[in-house]
Amino acid sequence: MKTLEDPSTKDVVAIKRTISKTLRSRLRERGVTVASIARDTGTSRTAIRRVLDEDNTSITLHTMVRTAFSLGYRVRLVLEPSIEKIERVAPPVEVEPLMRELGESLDRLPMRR
Amino acid sequence: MNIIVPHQIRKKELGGEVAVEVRKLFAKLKEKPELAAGISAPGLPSRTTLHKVYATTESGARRLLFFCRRPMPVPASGGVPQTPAATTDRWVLLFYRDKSDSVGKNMSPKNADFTRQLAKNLSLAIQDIANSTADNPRYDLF
Repeated sequence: MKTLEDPSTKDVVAIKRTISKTLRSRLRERGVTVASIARDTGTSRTAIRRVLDEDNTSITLHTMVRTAFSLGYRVRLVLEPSIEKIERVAPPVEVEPLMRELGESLDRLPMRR
Repeated sequence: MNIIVPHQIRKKELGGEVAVEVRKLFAKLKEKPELAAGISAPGLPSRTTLHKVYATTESGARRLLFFCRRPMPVPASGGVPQTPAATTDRWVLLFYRDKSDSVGKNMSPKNADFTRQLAKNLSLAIQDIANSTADNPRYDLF
């Protein structure tokens, strides 16, 4: 089960918060109603309210993108590389002299500017 | 933290150049050095660890292996001033593999392929680091 501490859940919450805030702000600027957005996008007012509710992450990508589009935005998703974990590896005994040698070479290496 | 990519490792593991995807991973690593905090290394030469990094990129799951060297402790009574190099951890890239690669899938001494290729890559890294000069570095620094 995903918890709030889970990094992916944190990402989802942060993304939704940003999108909802931005769209709500645009809605106010333009003076449009939830009902008119629902009409434009061919969906229900409840669905639009879910998009605008920053705590609600249960929306479809389709509804979110169409709502944003009707308010003059395009949504782009960028996938960034992620690091899941780092762990120590036990080196094979055979390479220990090489590891020692590399360590000593690194100690002698001056830092580049 | 400095990430060092010896030129021969760059050629062998990264196909000759450090792609944007790899640079992004390095940036992530440098952002989160705490990920590696607390990793102890009994039985290894002092100040030395091998770190395996589990990463996901646009091209798929990757497994990286770094040789990590921590700086020498500062002597309490002064002593010889340290060079700037000696004040930060240095991570030398040894492997950049697909998760399903013969080395990537099992980076442990039980994997004969890993042991053989690790010895080879350590030797390549040593050649580049030991033969680097200030005017002619044989590594990339991130």
